[in-house]
Amino acid sequence: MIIEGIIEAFKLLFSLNREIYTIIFLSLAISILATLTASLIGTFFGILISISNFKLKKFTKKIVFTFMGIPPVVLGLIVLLVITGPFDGFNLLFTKTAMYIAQTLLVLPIIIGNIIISSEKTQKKILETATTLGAKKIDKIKLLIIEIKPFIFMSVILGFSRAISEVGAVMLVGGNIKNDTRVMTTYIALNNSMGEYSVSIAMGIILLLLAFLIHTLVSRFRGDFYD
Amino acid sequence: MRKVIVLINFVLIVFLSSCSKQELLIVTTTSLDNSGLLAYIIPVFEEEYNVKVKIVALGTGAALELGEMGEADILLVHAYDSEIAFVNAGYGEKRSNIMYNDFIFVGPETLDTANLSETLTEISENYDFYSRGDNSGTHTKELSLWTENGYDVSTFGEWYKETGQSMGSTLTMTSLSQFYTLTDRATYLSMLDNLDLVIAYQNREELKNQYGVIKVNPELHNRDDRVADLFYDWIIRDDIQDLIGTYEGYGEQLFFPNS
Amino acid sequence: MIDIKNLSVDLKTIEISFDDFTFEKSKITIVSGKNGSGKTTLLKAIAGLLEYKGDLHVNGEVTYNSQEPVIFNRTVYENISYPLKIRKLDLLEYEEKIWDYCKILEMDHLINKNALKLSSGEKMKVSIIRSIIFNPDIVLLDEPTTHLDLDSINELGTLIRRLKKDMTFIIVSHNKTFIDSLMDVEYKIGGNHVLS
Repeated sequence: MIIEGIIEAFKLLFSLNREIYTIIFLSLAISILATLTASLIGTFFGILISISNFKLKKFTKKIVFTFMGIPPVVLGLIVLLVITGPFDGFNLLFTKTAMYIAQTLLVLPIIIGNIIISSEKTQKKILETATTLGAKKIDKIKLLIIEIKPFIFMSVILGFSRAISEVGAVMLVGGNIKNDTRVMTTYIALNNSMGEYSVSIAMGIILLLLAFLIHTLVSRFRGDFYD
Repeated sequence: MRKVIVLINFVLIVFLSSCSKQELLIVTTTSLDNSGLLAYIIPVFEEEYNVKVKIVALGTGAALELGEMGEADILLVHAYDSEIAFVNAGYGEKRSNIMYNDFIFVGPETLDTANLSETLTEISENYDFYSRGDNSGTHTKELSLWTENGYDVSTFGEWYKETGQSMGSTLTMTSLSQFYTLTDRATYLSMLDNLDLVIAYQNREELKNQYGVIKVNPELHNRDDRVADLFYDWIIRDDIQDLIGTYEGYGEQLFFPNS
Repeated sequence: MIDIKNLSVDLKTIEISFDDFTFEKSKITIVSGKNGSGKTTLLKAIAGLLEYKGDLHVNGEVTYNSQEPVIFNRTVYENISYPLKIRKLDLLEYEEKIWDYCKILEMDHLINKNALKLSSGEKMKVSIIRSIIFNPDIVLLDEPTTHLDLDSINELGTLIRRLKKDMTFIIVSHNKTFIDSLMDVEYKIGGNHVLS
């Protein structure tokens, strides 16, 4: 079965089948966009939370850490309720936009949480040193971002892995509609339900290959000195 | 010492007798499992023959695939053409009808149409439609309805969308989107409270949902197939057929025996 | 240059109070005292890194160099020029000075290396140069000789003596030869501690 899957994977990749390429492209596009958005917002808030002192800091951190592990299907459900409830007018149900929103929200706590953890570890010394060298608040934030860059990259990769591999949220808010909102994971779920296991394995292999490729690319661009 | 030996003997006997209780693996479709019929009739079989039945519920495609792999003793499915092909290909030893119920079109409003052909025309011209798109029994049936009425599904535009999901999920999506879809009656009735959908068109003759029993070819799995034979004969027996006819859900008779 | 009066720092488990003192300009003051007597605490309070009670007047820009050097993940040159960069100063004007200081401490051959990959002693030297490159008025050095070899300690002494005309040094150190070669004034912390 697995060997069949590997053969099928190559057949699929080289079949020039438009549907397959659309599915792969949509998966990548949504997950990359969601990860980028979450990374921008998450880095900002992660650093802000870690360097600020406010009353509910501990509580806020607990919330963030809790949401790091939220099952995608639960988050999907929350998004579904919101876009069919208060935001009904935007017609987001079963659209790519809804999938993008859900994945962004899924990745966001992972980025924020990881940045809080890594930043709190290193920031005290770095910020203290920067202070004694005469750095102003904005200089310190810039310095901190640069100094924890490897950790930011790591959380971005973690976030992307979560986005590209999750099925619950995109299935629920995207609907797995053919030629529209179908992505690699929901395609795999569909083929599982049809007993087309070799196609599932094939898509799974392609998913792994893509993840490997992206991680390789990212680690090449990391440019940090920690290797 | 003697006590210990007696005790060990006792444990062994209990252990062996529980092992010797024969098992039957039935693979069926989710819709049939959800209907509650199996939970109604299977205990009668277990009691009668002292057999343990295991039920695995999957989509029809996956159910047939498991059968091909020899990972099932009995299949209870509803995709007539695929079932015949399955048996003809040598994966199934024999097949029989057991019962039928019907498919219905559901949507936001009742369609004021006189027959199936008019219904299909009305939907294709004025409404959006969710297709299961997963090679399930219901999907196969839906495709054949379009084809038999002169439509080519591959030419359908934006209004025709494939969900690739289970009947339950597809019904939920249909309700949220206020589209139309084809469903088996039992699943629709079981979800009625959570759906903002009504029966748009129904006709038991035109939209028959035939269930069949297949005994998987024992050569595929090399297991003892005597229990499978017992079950095959049992479910098409007159008194069990009558029992199926007495099963009610949501206030109506859900299945009509026709073995 | 720096006046302290009735100064005390509450460290949660212990409260440290300091004798009144005036640190004079262009003098090298060595802060002495037993382990745990509060030498680092005093330097940190002067650097504005700790909250304190009492009067503390600091007249001029102050920099604090901690006993474990904190190095940024970048080259030696970029580490040293960081304080210049955030002050938006023209790096070209400082080029000569950077090289000069690096040569004195024998760091010139490492100037384009990533500073995180250096040895602890080399990191300490980077950190010291970084804290004096922007001409602060007051330089607080907390155990600057840790990790340094004998030659480096002498070179550091040379550098400090050269700069003392324009900078006020307050140094915590246990290295006897280093102290003897530099000390103008001694400030002894007595251990007048009140457990809170």
